[in-house]
Amino acid sequence: MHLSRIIKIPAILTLLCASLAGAAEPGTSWLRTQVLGNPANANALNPNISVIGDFVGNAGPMSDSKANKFSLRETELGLQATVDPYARADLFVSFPDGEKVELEEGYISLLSLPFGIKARGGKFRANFGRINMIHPHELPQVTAPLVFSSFLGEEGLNDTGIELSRVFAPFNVFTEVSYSFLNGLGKEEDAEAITTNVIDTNANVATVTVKAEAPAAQRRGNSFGHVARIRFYQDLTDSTNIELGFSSALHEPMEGKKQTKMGGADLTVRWKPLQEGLYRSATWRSELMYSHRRLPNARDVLTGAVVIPERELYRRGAYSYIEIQPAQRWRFGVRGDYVESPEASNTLIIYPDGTTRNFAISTMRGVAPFITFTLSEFNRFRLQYDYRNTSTMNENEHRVFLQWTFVLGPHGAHPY
Amino acid sequence: MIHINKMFIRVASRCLALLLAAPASASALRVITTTPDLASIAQAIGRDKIQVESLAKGIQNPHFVDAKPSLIVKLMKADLFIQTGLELEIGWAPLLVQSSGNKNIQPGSKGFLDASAAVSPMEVPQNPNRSMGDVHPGGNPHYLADPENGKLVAKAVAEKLSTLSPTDRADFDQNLKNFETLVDSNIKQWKAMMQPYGGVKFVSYHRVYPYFAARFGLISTDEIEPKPGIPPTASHSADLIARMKAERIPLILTEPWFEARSAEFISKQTGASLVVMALMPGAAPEAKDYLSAIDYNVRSIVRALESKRK
Repeated sequence: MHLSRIIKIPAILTLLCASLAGAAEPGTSWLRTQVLGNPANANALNPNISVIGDFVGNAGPMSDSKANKFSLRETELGLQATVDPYARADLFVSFPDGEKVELEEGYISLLSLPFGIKARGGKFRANFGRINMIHPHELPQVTAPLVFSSFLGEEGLNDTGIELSRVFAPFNVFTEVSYSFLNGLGKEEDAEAITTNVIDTNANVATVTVKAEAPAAQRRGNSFGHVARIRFYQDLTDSTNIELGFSSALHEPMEGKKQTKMGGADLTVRWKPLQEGLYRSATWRSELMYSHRRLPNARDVLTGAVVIPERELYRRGAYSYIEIQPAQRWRFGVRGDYVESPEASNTLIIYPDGTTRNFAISTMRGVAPFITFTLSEFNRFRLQYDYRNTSTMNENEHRVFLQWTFVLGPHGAHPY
Repeated sequence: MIHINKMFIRVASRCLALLLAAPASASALRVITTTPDLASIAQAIGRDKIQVESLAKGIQNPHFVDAKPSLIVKLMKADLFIQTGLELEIGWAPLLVQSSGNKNIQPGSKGFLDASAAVSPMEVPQNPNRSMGDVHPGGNPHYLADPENGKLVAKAVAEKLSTLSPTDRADFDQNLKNFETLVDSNIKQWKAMMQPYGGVKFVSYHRVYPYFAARFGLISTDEIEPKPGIPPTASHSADLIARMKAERIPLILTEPWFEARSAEFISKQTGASLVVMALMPGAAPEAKDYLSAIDYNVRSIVRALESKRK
């Protein structure tokens, strides 16, 4: 058993090295004489630098701190280049308004592995669903679908790890399979601070705010997150195509921690005539997601008493939108949202008239019509109206967004 | 039961036919090009030694092709990928090549050819910036509108095919010679046809024809687009109409993928003839390959200018 493994490992390494070496033209003298030797080409070896600004204003009868204000929601600095004949690297640094600078994505991709396998390592948006890999300013609407922000978090399913993917073409149908092995499933939410009044023997009252911080636990094999996706694509005609995808995510760390299982299915149908593609197109996209979470006991940080016992929550969510382009610069669309809060349960509401109602599941519904005006490929405006209804509070939210997105730098290739 | 058996035999025989058909074409080099003009040139050089296909169609704007996954499938088993370069396909081709997972056709590999390296680009901007519109920092990428550049690209393709299949070098060289002879005789004929119209000015929708104009003695003066990639505006169109009237510009050239209304309006206002060109094979029924597309363009222009003389 051991012997066969020992024989296999060098064989695999040899195959890998031979494959990588075969990707490049022999010798590097051309590079030295033609590129490095010519001062005019010196910049050609620098990474492509792009900056994307996402300016958003919103207005509505809301009372939260983000309402009725303008903000440069995010400025993104992108650095992208080929590392060597075998790999390329992509770094995206995010400057969110009022928050600290962070590396949104930073990964290296190997392009020359055997058997058509691609690999990337670093911090990246995992290949889960149809929306997660899209940067916020590239989303088709100003706001992300409700199910996306509720199930995957405001910043999406973005973590550090390794991804392997491979494209197949059985019966000439594009089929892409990917698997990501990650540190987790994105940012863990910070524990909420709890405020308690402490009374001493002299009856003095002091207000104490305590924030529970779990001790850094040793990471084990089950600390990692797993994300897998398969998607199929087929041209129905030259102008029409269909895409179907299935995704799953799993994060089951040790007992006493939150455990998450998620699944999703997405369907996209596009129409874009070959000849008039610059002027007319339509897209219909829908996505369903399922979440199963096991939440540990919630304890009072001072007394250690169990406030809420361990519970398992099964939740669903979906969105669907249609976008129609009737002219070169204009797109119109509307999105519908439905999501069940993935971590809230058994909410008891007492209404002013004294009646009560127990909500086993807190749900949110939304409708968001939007208009996009593209001044050029590098300069885009969007107007969106957001209506949301939260079942527990029976609250209706109305908000209008104006988005102005601009791009500095070279053309980027647009993922399909 | 008999019906099912018949169906089974039919399906099985088709599968067998497909399996048997595969080895016959397996030895041919699989060449994928971004545009049909490159595919046509590659076909002329590779002939029966290659299987060639273009990602974009002739009626498609080559600047704005969607990077559809079905195009990735075409690239997965390609031995050679040829692009026009000069950032013509920057918005889609790099992503397709990268996504294909095909190490043979990655930039810098043996199976990657940027055809623009074979030609001398025109209109290379001195200090390019986006205030100029969607400019190409490396120069105007529509160099294949000049058949002399077609010959240079054919030579580069022949060299690349010979590198990939050295045993067929003699065939590729002979095919190149035949192609060059054919292009030369056509150029002679086309120049003779265009000779009476030397120095004629024209307006194009997008700046597509500086190479064509330089080869055949025409003058490309202005565009319907105010700047590359920027849709026409009323004020620019009004200025253009005034200039065309003042300079008596008799010709407007456009492409099948641009909206027709602006060009038709300007043509009506100025009396200039409007010609829908075939920049690439497939853009018009007569444009079946690279040379017949240029032939169609020359004849269409001559016909339009002749009608102005009458």
